[in-house]
Amino acid sequence: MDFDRYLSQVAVPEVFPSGQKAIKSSSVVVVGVGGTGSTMAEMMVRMGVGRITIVDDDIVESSNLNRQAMYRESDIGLKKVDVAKSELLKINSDVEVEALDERLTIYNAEDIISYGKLTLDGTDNYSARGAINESSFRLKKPWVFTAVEGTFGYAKAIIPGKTSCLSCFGYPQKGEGVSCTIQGVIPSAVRAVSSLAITLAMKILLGKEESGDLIYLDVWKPMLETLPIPRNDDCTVCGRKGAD
Amino acid sequence: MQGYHIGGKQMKVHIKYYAKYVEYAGAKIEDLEVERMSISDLLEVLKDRHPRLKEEKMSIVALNGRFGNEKTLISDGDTISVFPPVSGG
Ligand SMILES: [Zn+2]
Repeated sequence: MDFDRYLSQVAVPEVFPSGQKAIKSSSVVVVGVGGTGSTMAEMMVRMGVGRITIVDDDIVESSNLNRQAMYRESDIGLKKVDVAKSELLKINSDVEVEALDERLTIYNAEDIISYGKLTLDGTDNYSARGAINESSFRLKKPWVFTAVEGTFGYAKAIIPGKTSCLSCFGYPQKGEGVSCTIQGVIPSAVRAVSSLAITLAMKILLGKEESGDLIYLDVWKPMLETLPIPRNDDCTVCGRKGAD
Repeated sequence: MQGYHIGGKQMKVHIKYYAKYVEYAGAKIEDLEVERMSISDLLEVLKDRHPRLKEEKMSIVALNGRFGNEKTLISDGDTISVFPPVSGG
């Protein structure tokens, strides 16, 4: 490992050289490489994750270019995962990059999540997140939830057996929701929520995240709030009254 | 203050709206007097007061800064935070 390139992050006591080794030996899956997903994938690769699997079946459109990382005008019409894979390898050739030209559904979620130690949610609809939540719980794998709209968004760590899950607190488990292009989102909100999520991801990989709090961020006000979400015994996914 | 006096002990609760709900409710914070009821019933009261809240299929509601069971009954002085769900990425 070319350690010099990570000097600035290992100088941070929260990471330290032992933490960098943990990041290097980790594998992550990024589901959806749109606004949040492309940003999170780029950050994980820059930070030196060992292996990354990116999953998306979309093509690059001009309406993506204001906020999505890595894509350029010349990429319009190309598969997002192909462009992203090639860019990620240019950024850090030590990283193993796998591209899956697929859309995550309840049918393939477990297979996709099995590629990594940790899943990062870059999806844009409720059903996909519901599927990640259920499959991650079954496979006992942690994941990081993100969602953005307008000037605000959410991030939350979900660690089966330790924290509450996405279904514990009333977040919709099904449906398409409204896309960013229609509902509107400002690029800085996308980047800010992605940064929070990557911090949670690092903490999970270093064994330093336990809380599973919901982080609410509004870049316009600006405002950041952390709200505890205790495990819900009646949760249909992780509730202790069901099969745990 | 507009209340919902249907009988029974009245509770004073503080409602905090987040993100686009501030616009829907016309305020960031609203103080209400209501009967003792569950969080989910209170949400219905809020939807009647501010019909635009019905535009979302569901809302995320925290009681005194913590998420929990929506069947929990509110108490005098509680703060209820109401967030829109979001699907974008
Ligand atoms: Zn749960």
